Amino acid sequence: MSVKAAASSIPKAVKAGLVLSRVPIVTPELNALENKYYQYQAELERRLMWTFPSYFYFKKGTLAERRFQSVQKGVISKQPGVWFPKGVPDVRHNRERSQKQDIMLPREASEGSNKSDVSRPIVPNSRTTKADENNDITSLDRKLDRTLHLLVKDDKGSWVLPSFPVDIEAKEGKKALHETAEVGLRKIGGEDINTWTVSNTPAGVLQSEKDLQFLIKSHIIAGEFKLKDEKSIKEFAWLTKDEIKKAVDERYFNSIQYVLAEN
Amino acid sequence: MLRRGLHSSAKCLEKTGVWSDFSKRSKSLGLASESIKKYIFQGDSDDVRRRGPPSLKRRMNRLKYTSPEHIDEMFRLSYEFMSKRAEEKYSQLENETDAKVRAKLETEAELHNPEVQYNFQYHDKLENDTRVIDYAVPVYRRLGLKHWESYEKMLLMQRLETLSVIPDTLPTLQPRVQVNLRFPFSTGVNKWVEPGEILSSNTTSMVPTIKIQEYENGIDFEKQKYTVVIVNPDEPDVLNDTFKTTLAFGLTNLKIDYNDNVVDPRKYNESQILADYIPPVPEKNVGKQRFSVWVFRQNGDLESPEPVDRENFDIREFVRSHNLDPVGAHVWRSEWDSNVANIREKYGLPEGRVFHRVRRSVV
Repeated sequence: MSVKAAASSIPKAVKAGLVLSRVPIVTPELNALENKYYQYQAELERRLMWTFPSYFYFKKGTLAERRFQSVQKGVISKQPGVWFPKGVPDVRHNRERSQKQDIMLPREASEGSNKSDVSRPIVPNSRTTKADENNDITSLDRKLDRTLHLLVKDDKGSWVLPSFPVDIEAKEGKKALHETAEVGLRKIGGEDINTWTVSNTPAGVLQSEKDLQFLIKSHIIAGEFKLKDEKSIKEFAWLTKDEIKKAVDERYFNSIQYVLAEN
Repeated sequence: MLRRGLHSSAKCLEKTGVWSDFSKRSKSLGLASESIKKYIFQGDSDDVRRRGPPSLKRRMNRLKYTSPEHIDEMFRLSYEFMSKRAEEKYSQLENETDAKVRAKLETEAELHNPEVQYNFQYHDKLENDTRVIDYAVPVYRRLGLKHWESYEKMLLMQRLETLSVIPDTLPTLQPRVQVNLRFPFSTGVNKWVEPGEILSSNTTSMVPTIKIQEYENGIDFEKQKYTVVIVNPDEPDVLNDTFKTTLAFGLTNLKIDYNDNVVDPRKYNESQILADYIPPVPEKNVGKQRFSVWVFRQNGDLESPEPVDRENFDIREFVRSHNLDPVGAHVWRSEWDSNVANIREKYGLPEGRVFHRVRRSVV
C-alpha cells in the first residue's frame, strides 16, 4: 500500500539539471578593514625585522658595496653633548634599532632598457577585463574574482539552469544522471569544452508537478560554451549569484540558491 | 625648537556608538581614567607638556614614545566594526525576555569592547574594585571565568588530586565557584594561599578569610546560601590503627553575592558558626596534615544544625544529610613546628603527643 502510494507520488519525468560553474581566477578584493589590517601587520613586522646583513652580501671594499652604501639613507648617530628628544640613537650596522630599516637597492645602469631583465618591476594585470567593460555576459572572462554559473533561457523566455531529460523507460543504454548531464551539455554547448563533474550524487533536487530535476555539480576547466542547439535555447549567460537573483524569479532562486557559490 | 608634528591627529574617533552611551550601561564598562579615555578617543592633547600617552608618567618618556604605524586608523576601523556588531546585540536584547539569552547577549555585546578588555586585563581580578571590574555585569563574569579556568581551576584540581583530598574527603569535585583563602596579615603572610601550600602554625593561628567567587549567571542571592567546612583527614587514630577526619572550622547559611563575597568574621554571626575555628596543631612526627576547605551551595536554610561530632567528623554523611552541593574547594598543609606548643596554649588545647617510629604501647 505504502509502496504503491510512494510510487504514485513519483512524477513521471526525471531530469538531470546541471550547475556548471567557473571558479574564481583571482582572489577577491580586500575590504577596507582587511586592507588596513594587513598594512598594520606588515608595518609591525618591519619594525621588528632583523637588521639587513649587508656585510654578508657585499664584500668590504668592493664597488658593489660602495654602490649599495651610496643609495642607503644615512642614520643619525650618537653624538656627545647633543640632546636627542626621541631618545639616544641605538645604531647597529647602519640601522636605527628602534625603527624599521628601509633598504634601497642600487639601480643598475642597464636597467629599464632591458624588458627581459629578471629584476624588472612586477606590473600586475588589470582585474577588470574587456568583457567587464562591455558587460558581455556570455564571456567566461568576466568577474574574475567571483564564481560564475551557466544559465540558459528556455522556450518560455525565463532564465534557468540547463536541464536534460533522463530516459527512465529505456531498455538498453541507460545513462546515469551525471552522464546525461555531461552528454546534454555537449549537445547544447559543443564538444569544445572540458568539465569536471564533482560527484555522481546529485547536490540538490528541484520538484515540480511535472518532473523531478536532480542537480549535478560541475566545474568548467577549459574551453568555452558555444551555443549549438538554438531551437530549444535562445540565450545563455555566465552569471554570479547576485546577478542570478536579479535575473530569475524569486521562487526559483530560493530553490536553487543553496547550490550556488557565495562569491 | 624641536616641536614637529610627532603625533598624528588622525585619531579623533567620534564617540557615537553604543559603547559610548552610559545612560543604561554600567559605569564599570568604561575606562576609569578620564585622561586615558580622552587620549584614545579624541587624540593627543594640544598642550605640549601633556603630549603622548598619559599612562607614561615621565614627560621624557612620553616624548620618546612612538606608536606603531597605522595603529590609529586600524583602531578606528576595528572599533567601528566591533561597535556596529555590539549595536546588533543590543537591539536583539531589547525584546528578549529569556534571562539566559539576555545574559549571553549582554556578554557578547561587551566582550570586544576595548575599554572592558583593558579594565579586566590591567586591574586586580581577585580584590576587584567594582568601579572597574564589576562581577555583577555578565561580561566581567565571563572574563573572570575564563581567567580562572585558564590556570587556577586546573591548578586546584591538580593539587586536590595529587594530595588525594579527593577522594579522601569527598568523592570528587566539579569546581563551579572560585575559592580563595588568606590568613590575617598579623600572622605575617599577606597573600592569597596557593592550593597545597605548606603553612606554618603561626600563619594559620587565626581565622582564615575565604573568598567565594560565583561566575554563573542567574543565581538568586536572596535565597542561595552557602556552607563552608574545613576538615583535616589526617588526624591519627591510634586505637584503630588508622586516621580520622576532624572538623577544624564550619560555617553555614552564609550570604554572598557577585562582588561582596569575602567571608571573614564581619560577614557572619554566632548563629552561623557550625564549629569554632581550631587552628592546625599537628603533633610531632605525624607528618604533613591536609586541611581541605569545602564550599557548598545549600538547598534552602540549614535549620539549627545539631552539634556535630568534631573529633570524628563524617563529611560525606554531613553532605548527604543536609543535601549540600559541593561547588568549590581549597587545601593547605600544616606540619609540626616549634610554635605549635604556643598555639595550643593560646587556644587552651591539651599538650600534643609525640609519635615515634616504633610504637611503644597502645594508648
